[in-house]
Amino acid sequence: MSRDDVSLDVQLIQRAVRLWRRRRKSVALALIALALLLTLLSGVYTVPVNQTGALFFLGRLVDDNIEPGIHFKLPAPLQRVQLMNTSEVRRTNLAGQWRETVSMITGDENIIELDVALQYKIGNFGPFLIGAESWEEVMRLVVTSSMTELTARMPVDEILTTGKSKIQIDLRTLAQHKLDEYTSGLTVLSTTIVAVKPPREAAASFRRVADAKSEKAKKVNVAQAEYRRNLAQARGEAERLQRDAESASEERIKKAQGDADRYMSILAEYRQAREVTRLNLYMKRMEEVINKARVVLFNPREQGPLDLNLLKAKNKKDSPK
Amino acid sequence: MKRWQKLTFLLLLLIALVWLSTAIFIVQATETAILTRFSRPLPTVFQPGPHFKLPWPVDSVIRFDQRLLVFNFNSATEFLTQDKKNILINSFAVWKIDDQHKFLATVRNRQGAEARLLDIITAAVGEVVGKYALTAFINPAGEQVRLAEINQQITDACTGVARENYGLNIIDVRINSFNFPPQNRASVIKRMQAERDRIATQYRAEGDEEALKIQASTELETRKILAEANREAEIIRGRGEAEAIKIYGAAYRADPEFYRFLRTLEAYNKIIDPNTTIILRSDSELWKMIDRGAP
Repeated sequence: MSRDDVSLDVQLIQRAVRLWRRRRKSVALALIALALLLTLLSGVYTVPVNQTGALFFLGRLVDDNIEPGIHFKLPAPLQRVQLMNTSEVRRTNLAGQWRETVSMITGDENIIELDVALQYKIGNFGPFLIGAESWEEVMRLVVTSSMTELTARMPVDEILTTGKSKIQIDLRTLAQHKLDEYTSGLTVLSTTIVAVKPPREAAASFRRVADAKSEKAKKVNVAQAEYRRNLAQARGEAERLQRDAESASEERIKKAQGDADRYMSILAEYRQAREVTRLNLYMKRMEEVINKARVVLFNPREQGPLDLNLLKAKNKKDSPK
Repeated sequence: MKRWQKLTFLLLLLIALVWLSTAIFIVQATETAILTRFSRPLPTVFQPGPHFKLPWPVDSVIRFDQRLLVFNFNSATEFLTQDKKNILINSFAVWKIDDQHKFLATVRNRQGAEARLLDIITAAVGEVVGKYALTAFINPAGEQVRLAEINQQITDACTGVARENYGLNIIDVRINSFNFPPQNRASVIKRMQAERDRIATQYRAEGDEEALKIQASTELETRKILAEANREAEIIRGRGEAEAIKIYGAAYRADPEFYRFLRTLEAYNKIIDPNTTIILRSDSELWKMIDRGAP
C-alpha cells in the first residue's frame, strides 16, 4: 500500500465524519431505512418443487399448504416457515432393521414368520407436522396390530398360498382406516408381504408337504397321460375295425356283383341254347366232382339192396390214404 | 457528568425492556401451557399463540406436549384366556394430555404418565382377555375372531380411570401382537410338524387314489370305444351282406329255375371232396349220361 493510498483513506474518513456532523439526522434515517429494507427482504423465501411449506405466526399454524414458488413472510421471530418434501414415497418395513421377520400366530394355531413392506407418504401436511410425536411409529404399530388380526383369521395354508394377496389389500385398508381415525397426516400407499414362511424348526415338515403335493400332481399327470395314450390307441383300433368291416362289406358286395354279372352272362348264353348249355355246365361240373370223389356203382335189380358194410370196409381201408 | 447520567439511563431502560419481555410468551402449535404464580398453578390453559403474563419472577410458564403420543409396551406380558390358555400379549396405547392441571398434579411428566398407563392398561388387558376364549383371538373361521371388539373393550376399560385420575386421554389401546409363551413353543412346533406329516400323507394317498380312478376310467372308456367299434363294424358288415343278398336276389329273379340249377352245381363242388363216396345206381340218369353220353 502506498503512502498516497493511506492518505486517501484518511481523507475519506475525514470526509465521512464531516458529513455525519453536518447531516446527522438524515444519515441516521437513511441507515434505519436500509436496515428495515434488509429485514423485509429477509422475509422473502422460496418453496422448491415437490415441497410444501407450513407458515407459523407467533407459534400458531396459519397455513399448511404453501405451494412451490416465491413467497413472503414477516421477519424471523414473528413468522416461521417449515418446508418438507410431501410427494416423496417413503418406505419402511415391519420387522425393522435388526430382525428379518416378525413372528405371528395363524388362525389354526401355527406360528408363522413374516415381514411387510410399507410405502407411504405425507398426506395432510398440517396434521403430520403437529398432530403426533411420530406418525411413523403410530403407523408401524397400527399395521402390526392389523396384521396380527388378519393372520389370526386364516389357517396357515391359506396365508402361505392364496390368502396372501387378500391380506395385503385388507391390511392397507384396515391400517389407513385406523390412521384416519387418529386424523393422521400419513397416507399408506401399499402394504406388501415380502416374506412369509414357517418357523425354522418346522420348515422341513412344510417342505415335505410341498413335495407330497407335487408328487400327487405328478402321479395324476402320469395317469392322465396314460389315459390319453390308451384312449388314442383305442380310437385308432376302433378306426381300424371300422375300415376292416367296410372293406369286408365292400368285398362282399363286389363278390356278389361279380357272381351276379357272371350269372347274367351265363344266363344270356343259356337263353340262346338252353339244352346244350345246361348239359355242358352239368357235365363239366360232374367231371370235376366225380374226379375228386370215389364212385360206387350198383344195380339194385341184379345185386339186391346195397350192403353198407362193404362201403364201411372200403372206407376204412382208404381212410389212412 | 451529563454524559454519565445519559448512559445510566440508557442501561436502565434496556434492563427494563428485557424484564418486560418476560411478560410475553409464545405457545407453539404443538403445545399448550399453563402459568404458575409463585409456583401455584393458575386455572387458565393457553392455546398456541402469543400471550401475556406477569413478568419474572411472578409467573412462570409450564408447557405441555399436545401431540398424539404413543406408549408401546415393547415387551409381552403373559395373560390367561377364559379357557385357561396362556398367551403372550404386547399392546400399545395412543394417548394425549387431556387435563393439564390434573396431569401436572398427579403424574408431573411423561415418564410418570407412562408408569400409570402401564398399570392401567395391563389391568384392563388382563380383565378383558380373561373374558374371551382363545378362539376369539385366533380362529381359522375369520368372522369368529373378535379382536376389534376386544381392543374396544380394553380401550373402554382404560379411558375413564386415566381421564379422571391423571388427566390423560387414552384414544386407543390395541393388542399389537400375541404369541405363545416360550415354554409352549416347542410343543406348538411339534404339533405343527405332526400336522404337516398328516397332510403330506394325505396328499400321497390322494395322489394314489386319483391315479387309480383315472386308470379305472381309462380301462372303462377304452373298452367302451372298442365295443362300440365292434358293433359299428358288425352293422357295416350286415349292410354289406344285405346288399349282396339283394344283388343275388335280383340275379335269381331273372330266371329262378336256371339259378337253382347253377347254384346246385356250385354246391356239388363244395359238398363233394376226396373223402366222399358217391353211390350211383347203374340205372340212374347220371350214370346213363356218363355211360352213354345222353339220358
